Amino acid sequence: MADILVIDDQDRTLELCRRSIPEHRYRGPARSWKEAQQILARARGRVDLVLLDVHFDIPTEDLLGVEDGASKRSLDRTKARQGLLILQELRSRYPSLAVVLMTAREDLPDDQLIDDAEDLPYFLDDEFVDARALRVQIARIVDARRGQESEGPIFWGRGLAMRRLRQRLEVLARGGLPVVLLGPTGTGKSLLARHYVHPRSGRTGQFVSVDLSTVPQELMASHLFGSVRGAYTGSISDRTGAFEAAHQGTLFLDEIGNLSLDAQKMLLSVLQEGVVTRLGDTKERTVDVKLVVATNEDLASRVRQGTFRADLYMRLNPAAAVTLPSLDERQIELDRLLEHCLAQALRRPALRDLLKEVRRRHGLGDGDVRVYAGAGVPEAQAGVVSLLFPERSMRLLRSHHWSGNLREFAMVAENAVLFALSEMATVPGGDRADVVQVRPKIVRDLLAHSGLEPGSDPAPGAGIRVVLEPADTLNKVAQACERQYFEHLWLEHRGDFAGMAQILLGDREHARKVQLRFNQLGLKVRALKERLT
Amino acid sequence: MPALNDLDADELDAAAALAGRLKHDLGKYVAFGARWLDDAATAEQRKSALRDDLLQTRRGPDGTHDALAVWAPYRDALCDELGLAEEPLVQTLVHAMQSLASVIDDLRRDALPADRVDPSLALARQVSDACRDLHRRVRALENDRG
Repeated sequence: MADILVIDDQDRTLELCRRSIPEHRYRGPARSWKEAQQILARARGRVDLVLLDVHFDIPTEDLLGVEDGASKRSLDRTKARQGLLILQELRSRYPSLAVVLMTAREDLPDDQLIDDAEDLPYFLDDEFVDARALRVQIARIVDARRGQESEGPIFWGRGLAMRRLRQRLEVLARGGLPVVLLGPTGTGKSLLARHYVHPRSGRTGQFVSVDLSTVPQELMASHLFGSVRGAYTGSISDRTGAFEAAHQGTLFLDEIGNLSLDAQKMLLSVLQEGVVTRLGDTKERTVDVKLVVATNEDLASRVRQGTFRADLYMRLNPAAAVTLPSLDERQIELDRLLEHCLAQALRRPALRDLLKEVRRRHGLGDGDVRVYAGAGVPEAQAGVVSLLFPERSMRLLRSHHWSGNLREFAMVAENAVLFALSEMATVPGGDRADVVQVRPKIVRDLLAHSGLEPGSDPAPGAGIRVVLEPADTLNKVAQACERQYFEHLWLEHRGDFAGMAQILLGDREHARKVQLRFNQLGLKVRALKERLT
Repeated sequence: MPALNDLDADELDAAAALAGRLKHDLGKYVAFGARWLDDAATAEQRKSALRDDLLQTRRGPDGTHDALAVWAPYRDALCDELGLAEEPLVQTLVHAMQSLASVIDDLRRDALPADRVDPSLALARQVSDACRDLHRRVRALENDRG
């Protein structure tokens, strides 16, 4: 499913897209560059693709590229190529956005704007767009772009922060110095170490992972550096430590803050000398290891407190530390992340077998599985099972505080589909047996027991999380906050202003007051209605 | 009566701009919904597409305009200002739009017989194709003349 912005001076393109290609989410129509900018700013990076008309019959003041005193002929020409001027703006401000110009290449005038474009937009094959051609074009673009968003189990997404992180890790992976991965629990540090850093390190040895939070303190040194028989009570044989096992490979030490002070000293020695000595042994063994460490603690504070060695801390290369964002900071990518997590989950036996059962029961045959987040019911396609998360389910996911981050999200997503598929496996087929709806109730029940903080899901109207951007004035910030809250309440109460008044003012009789404020905030009932399931 | 070949450079330039706008304003939208119908479209869906295409050919902030309203200024420009009433493609357009006038009238009164829907859809496609062909012809002439 793609998030598509339609930039067109006419209404019909958007209407027909919604009707004939409902598997995507649409915004707009933006009738001018100004409107397009506003929608893109509000969307905050969620838009995947733009459908852009070329000819815009709009008032002069809304046109780009109008010169003072322009003749009628000049204005007509500007209108006829307005889409190209908008394309130029899109290229400059949103270079990663895919643009489909709704015309054939041959149909455009010889225009320097197109010739100069480094990255040509996509064109339709025919001057006159039709649903079939557009659907194929959109699918082709989306598939190509999705390929860049994830790498095996790692979901990079499209956000700038993750792009920069990826670039930084690419460089650090190749070097000989340790890599420090910081970030809250469940953000994918071990995944990155295993599936990104190690493969790019160019090393031929193994990837060895040690979670130091699971190793008893008294066994830590032996675990990491090895031991010989009799080195300590209970040591009945020689043991190869993690460092030796990772020789010429990568050693990942998770929860590095758990290292005992003694083990810290030994680790420092190994890093300085490049040799390990097993406990109870005298023989030095050379080890060449790419070290990756991870923690969700503030190691610098630990150094100040005296519980982590300063010299070891400096050896770990903290200046080049990489911090993974929490899932709450990657909110806008939840839809994509959902698709990614479910793609992984559906490869595992539990869901894979259940899906087979659903297909068998409903006579669906073999084929793909597609995930639709917040969109309309997709068109039936032979063999395709659609996992549909209606908008209300997505809203629940978006408003949840993911204290367990990616790990928690992946589990909730997998469980949600498990329950939804289980329902389908036991009920008779209906109109659309190919659509597996992950109902809001399933999501709500899972979220109620998920997370690390009790009651992390706010009750309706009692509190929500808002996402704000810096603005010029505090008044605008406050308004943006209020607008999101009103929007949330309206959706929660399905347009019932009296219900909203009860939450806001403690009295349903104040519905009119609430509605007036709703209008003052610039909210539109029509736009919100489209988000209701 | 002049034909396209007889137009001078300025007139040809004007004709090209006009044909481009006509292709976009009428050609694209007079069969817009029809092109989006899939093979399994029901009779009701085909009629609905026809209704949208002919009665709401262009719909935007400046209001809703049916196909005749969209066509009228172009007809005047092509036939009267540029004098191209005898140009075959223009004649095709004029005749097709005259036929569509009665369809539009019937659609407004919800009185279009079921057996006229598909022929009307085909006629609208004919208008669309003629707009495209006219534009291509003018562009080809421009290119030939360099």
